[in-house]
Amino acid sequence: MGKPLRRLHARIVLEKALVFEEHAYHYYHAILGLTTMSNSFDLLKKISGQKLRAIIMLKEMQRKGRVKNIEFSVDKRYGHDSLTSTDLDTLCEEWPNLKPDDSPDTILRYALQKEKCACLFYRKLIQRTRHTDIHEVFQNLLHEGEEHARDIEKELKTITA
Amino acid sequence: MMDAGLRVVEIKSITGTVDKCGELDEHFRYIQRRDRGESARRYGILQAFKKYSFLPPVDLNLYKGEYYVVDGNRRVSAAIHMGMSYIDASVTEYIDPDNALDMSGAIHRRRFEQETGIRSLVLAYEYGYEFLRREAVAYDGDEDFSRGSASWYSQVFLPRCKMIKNSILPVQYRNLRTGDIYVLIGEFYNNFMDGIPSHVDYNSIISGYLFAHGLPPRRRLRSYVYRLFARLLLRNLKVG
Repeated sequence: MGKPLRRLHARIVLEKALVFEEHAYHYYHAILGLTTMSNSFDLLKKISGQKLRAIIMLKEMQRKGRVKNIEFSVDKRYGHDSLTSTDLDTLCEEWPNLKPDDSPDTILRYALQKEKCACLFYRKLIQRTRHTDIHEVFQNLLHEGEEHARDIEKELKTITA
Repeated sequence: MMDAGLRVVEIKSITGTVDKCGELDEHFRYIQRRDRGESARRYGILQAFKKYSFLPPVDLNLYKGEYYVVDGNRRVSAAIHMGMSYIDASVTEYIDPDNALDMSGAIHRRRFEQETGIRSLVLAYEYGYEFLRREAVAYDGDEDFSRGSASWYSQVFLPRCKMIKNSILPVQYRNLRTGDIYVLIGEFYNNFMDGIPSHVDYNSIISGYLFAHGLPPRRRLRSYVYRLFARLLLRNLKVG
């Protein structure tokens, strides 16, 4: 593949990730405003903040081709396989439309499902790109997704307890 | 009423006059012929300015971010005639003591001006000066403070304001100055994610802000042709 085509390929891969993160941000931002979610406000605010940061980083990468000193607030102690792999097709359906009578439990379960989907999505993207900088960004996004999934699982446990 | 001292004032922010109301046009010239000596006085000021390249400071009143001439209408007029953008002025500021918002805004501004030495920065909403002061303090704290804030102004604030000016934000926020939009973006990131991400180009910060506020810029990669190309390249990968 020629250099311009490679660059275009990289941009398109990043665009895929960007679309994904934008959907996620919209979802978290929407549930952040629900009164029923007030108990999980801090967690949701943190996650949507991190989603926005990821969007900015991806846009920066798309614009410049690389990001200097990428800052992701992830705990890298956890390995890649801490989440069970489920079939991508069953996890990554359309993003759910929120209903007024959705319980916090249901909303968080949707979010958890999407975070697991994010992990699989980034694993797939990592496999498909050889660009080292993009690799690093997707690795970080993968770790971040895993961390979010763990946080949401923890929150779900406290809600259901 | 407070003495705001001697400062350099942008001529376009001088919007009126105190005791010649209705007598002057937008270039601070008399609408009706006043007396025979008027044109001679005006000519004299212009000649003096051409000779010395300097005008003595005019007296201005500052009220809600706008300046009104107390003494020096002809000098302002001469400066406009000569195409100057700034003029030296001795400024007296008026603040409504019954308006708590104005009062606290003026306090923030004066503190910002005193601590940073920057007096040419004008905001429509003065509470923003506190944010700017904190940012200037945080910038390069080891140096002499006024020198540090001068470099913050020239290396951070002005280039970023230029980027804001080139974005769609001034169209979206018509009643705000560029400095106000700068404050708005900074406060959004402070509240939402503990500050602006470092090592990121400010254009990306602006586009992040636009996205978060539902004002996404046009994205070519979302066009039909690119999407078709992406489908070919990334077959078998479904995005939720």
